[in-house]
Amino acid sequence: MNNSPILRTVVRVAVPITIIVSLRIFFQGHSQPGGGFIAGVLVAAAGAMYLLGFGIERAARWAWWKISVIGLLVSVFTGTVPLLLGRSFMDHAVWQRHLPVMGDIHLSSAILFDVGVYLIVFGTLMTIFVELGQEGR
Amino acid sequence: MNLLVLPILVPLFTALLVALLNGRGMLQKVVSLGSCLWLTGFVFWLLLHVDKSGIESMCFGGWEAPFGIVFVADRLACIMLCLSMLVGTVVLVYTFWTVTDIQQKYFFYPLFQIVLLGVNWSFLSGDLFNLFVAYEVMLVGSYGMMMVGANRGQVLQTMKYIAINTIGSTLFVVGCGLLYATVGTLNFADLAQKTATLSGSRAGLVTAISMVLLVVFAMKTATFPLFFWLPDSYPVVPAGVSGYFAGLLTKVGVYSLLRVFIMVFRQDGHVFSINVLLVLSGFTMLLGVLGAMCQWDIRRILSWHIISQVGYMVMGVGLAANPMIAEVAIAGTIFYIVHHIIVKSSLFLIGGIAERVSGTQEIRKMGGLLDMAPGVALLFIVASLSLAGMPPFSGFLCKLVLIRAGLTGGNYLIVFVALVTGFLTLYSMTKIWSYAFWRNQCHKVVGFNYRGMMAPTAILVVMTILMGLYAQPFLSLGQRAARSVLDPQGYIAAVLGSGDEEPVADTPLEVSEPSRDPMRLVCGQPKEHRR
Amino acid sequence: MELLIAIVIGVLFGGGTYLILRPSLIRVVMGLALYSNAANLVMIACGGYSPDRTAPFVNSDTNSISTLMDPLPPDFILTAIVISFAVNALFLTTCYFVYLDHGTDDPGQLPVNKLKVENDFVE
Repeated sequence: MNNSPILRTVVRVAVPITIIVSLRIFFQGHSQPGGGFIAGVLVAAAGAMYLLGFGIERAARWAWWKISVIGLLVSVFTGTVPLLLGRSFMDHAVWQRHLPVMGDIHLSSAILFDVGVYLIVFGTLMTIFVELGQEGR
Repeated sequence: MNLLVLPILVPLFTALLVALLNGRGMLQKVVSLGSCLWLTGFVFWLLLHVDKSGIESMCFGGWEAPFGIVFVADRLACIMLCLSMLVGTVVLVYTFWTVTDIQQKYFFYPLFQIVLLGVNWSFLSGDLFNLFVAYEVMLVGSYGMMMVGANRGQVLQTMKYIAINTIGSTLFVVGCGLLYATVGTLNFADLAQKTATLSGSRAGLVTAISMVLLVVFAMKTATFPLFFWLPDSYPVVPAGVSGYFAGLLTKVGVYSLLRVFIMVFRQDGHVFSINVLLVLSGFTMLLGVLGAMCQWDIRRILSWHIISQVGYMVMGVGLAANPMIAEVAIAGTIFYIVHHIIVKSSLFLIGGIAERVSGTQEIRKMGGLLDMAPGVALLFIVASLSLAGMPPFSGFLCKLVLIRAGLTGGNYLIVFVALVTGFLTLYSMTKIWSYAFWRNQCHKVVGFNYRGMMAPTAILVVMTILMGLYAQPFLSLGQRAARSVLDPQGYIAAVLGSGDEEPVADTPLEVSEPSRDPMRLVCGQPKEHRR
Repeated sequence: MELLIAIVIGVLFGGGTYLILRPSLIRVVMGLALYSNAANLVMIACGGYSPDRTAPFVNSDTNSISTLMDPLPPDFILTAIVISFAVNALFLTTCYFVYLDHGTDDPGQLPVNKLKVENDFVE
């Protein structure tokens, strides 16, 4: 299956598109359906496509679980910062500005938490894919 | 108080840190031990603080109580936290001698911290859904713990354990949903407030929903019809960690029973579900000990004993149906939980040493441990007599409290079952003693150095002696905890109130009239006349 | 709407039970997945779902509370979905390892951990 040129060509196109879509969904997640979990699943789907098209050997050299550990650290750390500042755990702040070119910017510190979730989901799913994929051979 | 998040934050950070340190065994041990010791100190401070100045609560992310996630530390939760961290630290030190390289490679230490995280979380959580999430975290940690470095049999047993617990979780979600639809909240304090005003068909509906939750908690505690998974799955947990599992995991279920069925469900006819628990507890005790009697594998014997001991605790919960003895029964249950966690963990740890020394789990093959390891034999005899309920140790006192409560309340049948169970427990412990320790040596000496594993075990055994000889502080603490569970006004005020209100249930013990002190029924003279 | 959801919940639980009772581990996993979906649907039904209600806070021009959906049950569901996703992945892996170890997918063929009675033991 790894030698199918059709699959490889499709994957080359589909992976970047999936990643862009996942980023779009990630950023709209603050007030609309979306967010870190779904976007992470999407980008992991892109990873699965890559694994299907280009084989598992190169991906298997990575320790994918470290991504989820780092993601969890980011998430928990985001929750802890307000605690250190004397607010309650998992509290968040919103940063709203009007920038000249980009228009209204609405940034919440919760987005860092979502970045963590994104990384956790991506890392965990890739670990599952790679480990189960390796097992068969 | 924002610091309430620490009992889950510290294990979480430690787990992540230790995971990143994977491959450096020494550093992992130091970090895990340091965080465990520190957190143990913190939770003991928290217990003293809560005991002195009332229930603490904490909202996540600034969302106020009935809507947001809330952590509550009342006395019961703090007692459980202290036990969790105490046993956790002891077991961690013990595992330094038992953990294998392959286990270390596959995230033994992070998983252990995750289990601690889940257990601590379930004690602190102040709403039902959070309790569900905490259960899941704890269970996922325990699945992992069973799987690290597992052989074929272990994987098979883990699969059963996952399957049964997944079904339980499904029922938990269903119960949460139905309760939310009926009462409109899942916060414990809010529920306790709202269910107290229910009557008629709506109260009946809540009782019916509580039966769904009863099944869930019965599954976790291994109560009568749903105990079959426990004797299969606990023996496959790595030696030291099985002590923590045996001590804490089922007791999380008992804690939930206390919290939910005693404190939260106060609608008309909630006595029904408590009575159901009383009936179940009788079967649990008897069947558990009968199961233990016909086993020959030391871990299986001890696992079956967990079931019968859980029966005692559930009996304490069940006796609370009678308001006259409710406080004594709940205090006895809490004391029993404390006793049981300490003794059962120490027995599992001792069993682990005995296995290492003799090289087998089968007690008929052990033999001669008294000569080979006299220290271990001493620890075992103390712990097992305590488990069976012999006088100088804590097991005697907590059984006494429960049995006196049962006699006062007129529940003679359950008291009879409890006494028979205690007798059979003694028989079963004598079996281990005479086969594994007393007999002539019948196997070759493995020459295992067990001294390092003795020290943490001895801490727990000394605890049970202390609790037996110097029981009054523990009993009165249990009684104060029971009082705030039975009368949730203080809890409600601490969670939903404006915060500066003085919690109602925190009247000091000395203020209560000695003549109305139900503990007197059990402990004889009230405190003043003691000395 | 509630009737429809109730029927679907019943079908999902029934199907899940059927699958769990089949002699195949992979079907047990699928049955448990159906169970968790059914439980999530219970949550949706209990949250009072109806198509003409919207999420609160997003459309701030809604001035009647009756057009707003209770936001808590969806939160519960999201959490439960993530949890059941993780547990199902773990369970699937476990079943796979059991299959690799024992070469069979049929629980009836798997070795039951029976009490080992060794009568040949002599003191």
